[in-house]
Amino acid sequence: MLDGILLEKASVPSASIVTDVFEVTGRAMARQWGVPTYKFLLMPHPIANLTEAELDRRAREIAPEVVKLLLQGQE
Amino acid sequence: MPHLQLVAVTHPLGGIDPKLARAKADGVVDRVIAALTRDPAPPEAASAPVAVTVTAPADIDLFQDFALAEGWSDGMPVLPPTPERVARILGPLAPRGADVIATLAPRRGVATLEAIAANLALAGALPGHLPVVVAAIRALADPRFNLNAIQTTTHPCTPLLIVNGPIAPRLGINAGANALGQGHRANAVIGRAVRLILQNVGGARPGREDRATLGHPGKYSYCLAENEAESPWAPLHVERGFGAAESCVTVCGSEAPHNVNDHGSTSAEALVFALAGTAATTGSNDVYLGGEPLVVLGPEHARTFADSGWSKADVKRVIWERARVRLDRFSPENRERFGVLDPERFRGRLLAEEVALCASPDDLMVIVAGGPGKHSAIIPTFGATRSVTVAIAR
Repeated sequence: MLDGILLEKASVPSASIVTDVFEVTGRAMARQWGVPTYKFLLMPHPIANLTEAELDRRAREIAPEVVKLLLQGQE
Repeated sequence: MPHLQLVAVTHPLGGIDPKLARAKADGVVDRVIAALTRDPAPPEAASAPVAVTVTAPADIDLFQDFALAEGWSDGMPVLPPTPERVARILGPLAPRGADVIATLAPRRGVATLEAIAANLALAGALPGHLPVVVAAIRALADPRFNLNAIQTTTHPCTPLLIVNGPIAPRLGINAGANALGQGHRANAVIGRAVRLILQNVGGARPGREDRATLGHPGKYSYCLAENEAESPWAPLHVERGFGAAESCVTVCGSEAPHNVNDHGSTSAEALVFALAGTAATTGSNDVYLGGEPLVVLGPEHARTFADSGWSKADVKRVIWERARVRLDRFSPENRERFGVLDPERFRGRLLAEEVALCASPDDLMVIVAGGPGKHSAIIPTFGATRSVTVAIAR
């Protein structure tokens, strides 16, 4: 997530994804780095036990949101 | 026994050449004979514990110096145990302040309700925490726990408190994220109050009676609740015959936790590798003294086991079968020493043979605690100790 914030600060479009239990942590990090409204994406926790196929499905599901965030930017 | 005669020999004794030990014995034998043949002073009658009120500085910063000088503190700031604050902690139990809860080694200090409450006051604990601490003190005084050894050994062990049942969420005892870390008042002050009681009533002063070579950070406070809501299995107190609606505290004579990081395994069969690998070590007391190592499973690891259809008993059995140490990983001196202590497991064995991390799979303890993430912990014990579970009075 910090990578995404720093990339945005360097004018490189980014889309950060965190699992939902880390939303509060992500929002706190955004505030600490001076971008309290930083937009990032959530997916259900956990992901570590997912099979390749399940992970592919998660990726396909969230891909349109990633594209949208990259194109629309943080404004 | 103030009349007990003592003769000291120069340290160390453990692991020295038998010739050196003989020389040390020769050096003290005359004093031993003198001590055995001298008429000892008559034993003093034990006096009843009576609370003494002392005058201390009102200034909170000056009070810290006072508390340290009196030996009441653990080094971090303590709060003055004024009669008013102690009475507030005792609440309706105030008239029973002289009730004796336990006698605590090594000083055989008498833990009255009032003495316990005074240490809660020092620790910054609240009236609601009193029943948990009282139950923990009862558990620590159970002979199976072996408190005298736990308090005075050079090993770093200290009581770990595991709280089960409805009292844990009611008091805000953290069972979730950072359960063994900082940030939750109940965990911090309950564990701290127990430590201060062991020091101030039990009389285990660091570097004096408490001879821990290193100790560990859990000696400041070491208390968590089991994450029953996210456990796929019956909680610890139910496993031990208490009702699910009862509240209990379990005390273990524990080392510091060693983390088990496994983000890759997605089945029970795979996950057991990292747990067993972390648990099988040559330097643990459990491997030769027969203790009860504790496996603290993070909820996600517990879920992985349950999704593979494993019961808690399966987890214990398979970790025990896999957490093995080859005998050639112990030094020849240690193999000989452990052979004396546990001949069945260490005598007459081939170097390529293995010993398990503890004597039996039933000795392994498993609880679920922590928050999101793929971490668990192994917590070895002092070895010569058994965990004790006591119901917390309503």
